[in-house]
Amino acid sequence: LKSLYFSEQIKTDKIEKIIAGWKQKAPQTGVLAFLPEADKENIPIIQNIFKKENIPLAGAVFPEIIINNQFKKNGIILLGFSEMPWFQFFGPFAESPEILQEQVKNLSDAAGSQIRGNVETTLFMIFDSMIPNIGTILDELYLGLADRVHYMGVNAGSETFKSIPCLFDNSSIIQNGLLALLLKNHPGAILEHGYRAPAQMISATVTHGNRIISIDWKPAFEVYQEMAKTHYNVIINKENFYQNGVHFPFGILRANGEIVVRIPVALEDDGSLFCVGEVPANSVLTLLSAPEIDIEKTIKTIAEGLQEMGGPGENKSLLTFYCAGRRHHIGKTSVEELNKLKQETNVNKIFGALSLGEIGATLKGGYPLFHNATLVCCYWND
Amino acid sequence: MNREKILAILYEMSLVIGNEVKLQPLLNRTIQKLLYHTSFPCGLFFCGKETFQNQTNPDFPVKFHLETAIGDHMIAEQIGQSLELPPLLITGKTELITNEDLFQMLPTDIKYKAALRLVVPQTGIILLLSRTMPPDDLPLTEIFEPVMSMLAKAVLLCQRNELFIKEQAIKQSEENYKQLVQKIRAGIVVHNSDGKITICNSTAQKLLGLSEDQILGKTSIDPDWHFLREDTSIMPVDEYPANLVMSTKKPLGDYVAGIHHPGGSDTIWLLINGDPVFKSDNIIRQIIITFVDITLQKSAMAALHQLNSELETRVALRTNELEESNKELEAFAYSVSHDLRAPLRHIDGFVKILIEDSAGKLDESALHYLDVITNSARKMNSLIEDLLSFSRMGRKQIDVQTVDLNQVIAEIIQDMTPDLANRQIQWNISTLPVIEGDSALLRHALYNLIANAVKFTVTREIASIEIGALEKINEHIFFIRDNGVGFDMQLAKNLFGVFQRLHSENDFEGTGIGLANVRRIIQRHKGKVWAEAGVNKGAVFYFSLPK
Repeated sequence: LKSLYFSEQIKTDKIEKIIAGWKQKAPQTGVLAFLPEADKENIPIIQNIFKKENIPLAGAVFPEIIINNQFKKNGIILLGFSEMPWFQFFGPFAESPEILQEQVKNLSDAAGSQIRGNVETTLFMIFDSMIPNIGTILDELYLGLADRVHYMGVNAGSETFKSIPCLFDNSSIIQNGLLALLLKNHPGAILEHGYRAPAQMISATVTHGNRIISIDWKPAFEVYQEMAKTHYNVIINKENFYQNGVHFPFGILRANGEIVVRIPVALEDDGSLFCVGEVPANSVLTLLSAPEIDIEKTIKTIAEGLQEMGGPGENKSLLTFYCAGRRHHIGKTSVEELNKLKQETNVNKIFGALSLGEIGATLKGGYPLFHNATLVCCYWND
Repeated sequence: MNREKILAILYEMSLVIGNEVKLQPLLNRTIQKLLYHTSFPCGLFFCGKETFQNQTNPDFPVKFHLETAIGDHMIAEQIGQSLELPPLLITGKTELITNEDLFQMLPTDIKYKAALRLVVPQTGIILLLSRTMPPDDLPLTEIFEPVMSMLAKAVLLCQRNELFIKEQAIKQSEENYKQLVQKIRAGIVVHNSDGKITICNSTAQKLLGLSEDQILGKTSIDPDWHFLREDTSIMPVDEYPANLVMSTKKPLGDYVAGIHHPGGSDTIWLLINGDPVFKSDNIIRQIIITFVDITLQKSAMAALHQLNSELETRVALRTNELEESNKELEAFAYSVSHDLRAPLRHIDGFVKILIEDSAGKLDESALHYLDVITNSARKMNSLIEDLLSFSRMGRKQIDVQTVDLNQVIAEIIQDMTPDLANRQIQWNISTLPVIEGDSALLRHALYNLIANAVKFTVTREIASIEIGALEKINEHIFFIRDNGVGFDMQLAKNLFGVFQRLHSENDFEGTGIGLANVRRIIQRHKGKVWAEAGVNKGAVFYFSLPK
């Protein structure tokens, strides 16, 4: 049994009534909550309601939430479980590889000890978007848990990329951490971005976490400017960098022809660029451009994946995380994309959140990666 | 995928491979990168170049050593094991394998559809497994094959590096061991299975008075050794430490032997330990003999023994003298006390006669003086009686028998009961052990202690008296606790003295002999008595009796 409640307004009496009803039906109920950044001040109120009802709560703050295919700056989404799944906070994570390995081992041991038998299980992770080494964390996690779980995740936080406490439970609000949940009898999620890779290759010669310091042995921003001018005839400077970054993200090339998108979101005085997500040293990069996104392919891939994973979408809801950078890039088309997704999948409704990075595999059961500019979707049978 | 992209990926892969100096991280990072580039979920590394080369029949499964596995937890459980796999899967050139039958022997429930086999020359094989068929146009083998020879060299370098580190660690360990053996302040000699000495440290050379060259190669039966038994008689060869260990095949502990330095006249005494070291078949491989010089300790022990002996004689003499003196003193005290009673009786008797004969002749003041004389005489008599009883306690022969203290206490309380009609007393009496002692004396001691508890709780509306025992290894400890007026612990040193009182006679009657008697009785039972108390906080009296 799963339940779903969303509203564009936070009405405490309504929420109290809803969750009390869920508890009456399922005494072990627990809730995963999504709040938009504009309503983050309401977290203590929500916590008090859940404390009063003695119902477990885990939650995250996203730039915006998605209610009925629309992006909303206000409101709340509550995903009710008949029995609260195992969840735990981890972090803050160390930069030192040795300490990080130990921390991730603790995570995989803790999650691994909860996995029973052959129950299909998804490890759903909500990271604070300010964590710079999520890719490395995923690599280490995969070493420990391997294929015992499906991997699905998103980044929470502020679209301004300023650090905010964005993860919470009944009594605490944390930042720079990870909220991990184990969803039992869950087949995982489908992830797709549809960006196409151009031919021009460059190499990120020096990186540190999510910071590209140099490309082809030159300051990263200098190369970025050159490539934008050469290939797309766009002049990017310090002033218009933030607006243009989403339209000209980096793509990390993979041997299977796919790319992993990295949207640059901040510029340092030394010419280094901060991206949403880790860029491994010496990664082969390309500069993607606005026209190269293939929405049709994205929708088709997701719909086919969902069909394969959970059958037709009739009478189901679709939990969707939509990358904030992607929406920034394609503007109003993002709503059209959600509507097309609803049509293609035949689901009742689409709900979810605007995310700041996404985790999953582009193939079912494939190697999990940290992405930008993607949609992550799974059915929610409420 | 154009040439530039392939070169770029090759460049990236080569940097990943070149960045690791340890084997396991190298294999993990390489496979992780391969999985990243292919989206395949599982990567395995098998090693064993001889197996690859010697395989001739492709139909028979052959064992391959699984060095690492990422992505399939069932296969990963077999890391470090040898897996039986079809040669067609694991031997051959770098290529994409799509024959699903070849995957059936993999220890997993996952149905893989394709495997990218990457040959790591002279080193092993990487298998990347996919649940779906990769697109036909992907030049994965062309992309990855060139970096495999680089990986092979990196694996070799890592293996050599780790071997070098292991060798260095072993060398360092050996050096530490040698230093330890040489620096330790105990002689160490090691005999081989033939009895010949193969190792001797510098302390051993010094103690034995021989150089290393003179010691190494010698056996336990060498005629140059001159061992003495502890009683200084000549030690037979079969009692030599190494020979004893060799013949008994058991460790030798704290064995004392004397040895003469060649050409020296003094005997050096050694405390020797020996341990056999066995081969797997219970045959002695070597014997380790360690020894320390105890010559000084041995002479010091002899001197100490002599001193102790003299001291014991002197103590016995003094004790005897003291006992005699005590006996004389007690006899004197008894005699004096006894003799004082007659004049007292005379005083008391003549005062009575004087009062009777002078009836009506004496005024009130004279009668009062006579009354004071009578009371004082009686009080003195009482003190003398107490003194005599105290003396008797010291002189009485102890009659040891089994005493049930539970019964003794029950009788004491029963005896007291008629006098306690106006008192409210909560008795809390634990079960006490049955002990060996003089029943009458112990009853006397307990009576005194309980009577004290009753007396000094008289001011309490409800008195509480607890009697119990504590078990110790060598003794019983008994206690009588009350909630009475207690006393100042600073005065406790006087508590058990004769006629010592901590409270006014007007408040609590008594002569002050009771606790002195208690101490004497308990001391005569080789026990101790002590007390803890506070003013108005009650008191606890303890006494111990040896088991």
